Amino acid sequence: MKWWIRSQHPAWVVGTVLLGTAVVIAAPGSTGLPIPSLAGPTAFAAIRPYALVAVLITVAMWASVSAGHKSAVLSTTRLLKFYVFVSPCGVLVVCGLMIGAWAIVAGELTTPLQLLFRDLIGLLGLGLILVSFTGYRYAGISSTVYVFVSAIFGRTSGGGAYDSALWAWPIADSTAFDYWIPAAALFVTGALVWLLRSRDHYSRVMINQAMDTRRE
Amino acid sequence: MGSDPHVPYSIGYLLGRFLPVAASVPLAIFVSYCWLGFTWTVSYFPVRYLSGLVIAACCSVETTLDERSVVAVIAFSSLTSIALLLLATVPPVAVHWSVTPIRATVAVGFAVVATVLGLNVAQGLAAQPVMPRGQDELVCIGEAPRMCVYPEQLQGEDPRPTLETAYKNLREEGVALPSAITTSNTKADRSSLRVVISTHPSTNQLVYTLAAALVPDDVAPYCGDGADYPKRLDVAAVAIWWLQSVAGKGLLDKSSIAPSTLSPDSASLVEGFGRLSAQEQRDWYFAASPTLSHCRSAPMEIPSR
Repeated sequence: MKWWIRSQHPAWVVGTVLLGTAVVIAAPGSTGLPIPSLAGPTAFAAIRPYALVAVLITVAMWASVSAGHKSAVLSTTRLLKFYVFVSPCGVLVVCGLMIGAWAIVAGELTTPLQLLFRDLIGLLGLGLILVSFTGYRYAGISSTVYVFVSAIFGRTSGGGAYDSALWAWPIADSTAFDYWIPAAALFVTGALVWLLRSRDHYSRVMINQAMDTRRE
Repeated sequence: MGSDPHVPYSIGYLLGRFLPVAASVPLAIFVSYCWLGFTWTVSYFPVRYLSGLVIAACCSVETTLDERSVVAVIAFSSLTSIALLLLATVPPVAVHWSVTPIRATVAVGFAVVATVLGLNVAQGLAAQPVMPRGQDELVCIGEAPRMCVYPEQLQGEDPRPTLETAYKNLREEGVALPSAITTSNTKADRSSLRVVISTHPSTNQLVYTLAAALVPDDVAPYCGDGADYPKRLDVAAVAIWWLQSVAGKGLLDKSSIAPSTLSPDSASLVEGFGRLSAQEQRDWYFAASPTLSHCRSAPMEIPSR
């Protein structure tokens, strides 16, 4: 029996984080992907690169973890669960290091990098919650759909064209503290749900193993 | 949304063949939306017709869909889907990698032909795939003004009595008017006032469209280096408000007439202008109206009290 598990191609995930962060740094401020906006004052509103990159990083990470889990399907252990939880943290650490390095090199912390970090926290938290109930394959879908739904329905009609509702934090172009709260809440909730669910699951596995041993 | 789903389906199928489910499904959603968004950002309009999203701009009652937009998206989507599916039918790497040069060439060929054909069909289309609806479907009544609307615009309350009252109010005030009112989004001409009417218009909308039909299509002329353009927009905004207030006599409460949002100063300018006497307002409009359509004279100062 294997007592460890690895994600497939973790270098791809790290590469996606590094490349994505670089893209966010390099992209001009006005760059964006226009998406129909059904709630805002304008018919179309752009999704900025930081939100798109956050989606890609999240998808890459869950795909990697999913593939790693699949290859060791029989080793459902505490180590596996711990590893899966560590993966979002690893992504945040790599991204954080990139942001820190950029702050040292450029002497300032750009707004898009802060927003990328906020989105990663929230989207990874959302994935963690879903993974606990639905499995790995829906974690990446949830972050993609949530960002696009936010862009379509989350603009607010008051104020500027790019103002967002609080629930549409992934596309909020503001670094206001209000938009960090739901993202951080999702990550904390995701972590708690994950740890509680995996503890229950681990207990069940141990009980089943004990019963199997007794039968033998 | 008006877009053709063949390309997103094919992208999803192709990604699903070569990537794990956890990556292929979200990436299919992601790439499809990026494709729609990308085409929308391109200033070269034919590219927008390749995804078909722009068809969502069709149509108001007085316009009809330009069929070239549909042909362009169907031609592009069908051939591009074939190209993507040709690549998708390649066995996965783990089984037997067999992207032969012939298969790759055929797939690329389909993609190139799809793009060229789609762009060629959409060539000449403007930002929106609409064209004026046939005049033979218009239902006309009355003389001076002769009012012509489409049958769908008569489904709710008949807009013509309101238009007639507004028209007569303007004429009594001395505003020069053509003898006909026609529902159309084409450029105005001297023979007819071109108004845009929705299927269930409010009185406010009818009065506004009649007033707006009296200013040039480009609202204000862009003269020289455009230094006085904001001022000309302000003049147009106040002129439209005055025309609305005159046309709406007996139809609307003056306070319910929202100033045009042509410039950020419109509301305050209209507020000050509205305090002038009726005669002062009228005199200003007739002095200012020639400057609305040409650059020969400087924009009028807007009086206020």
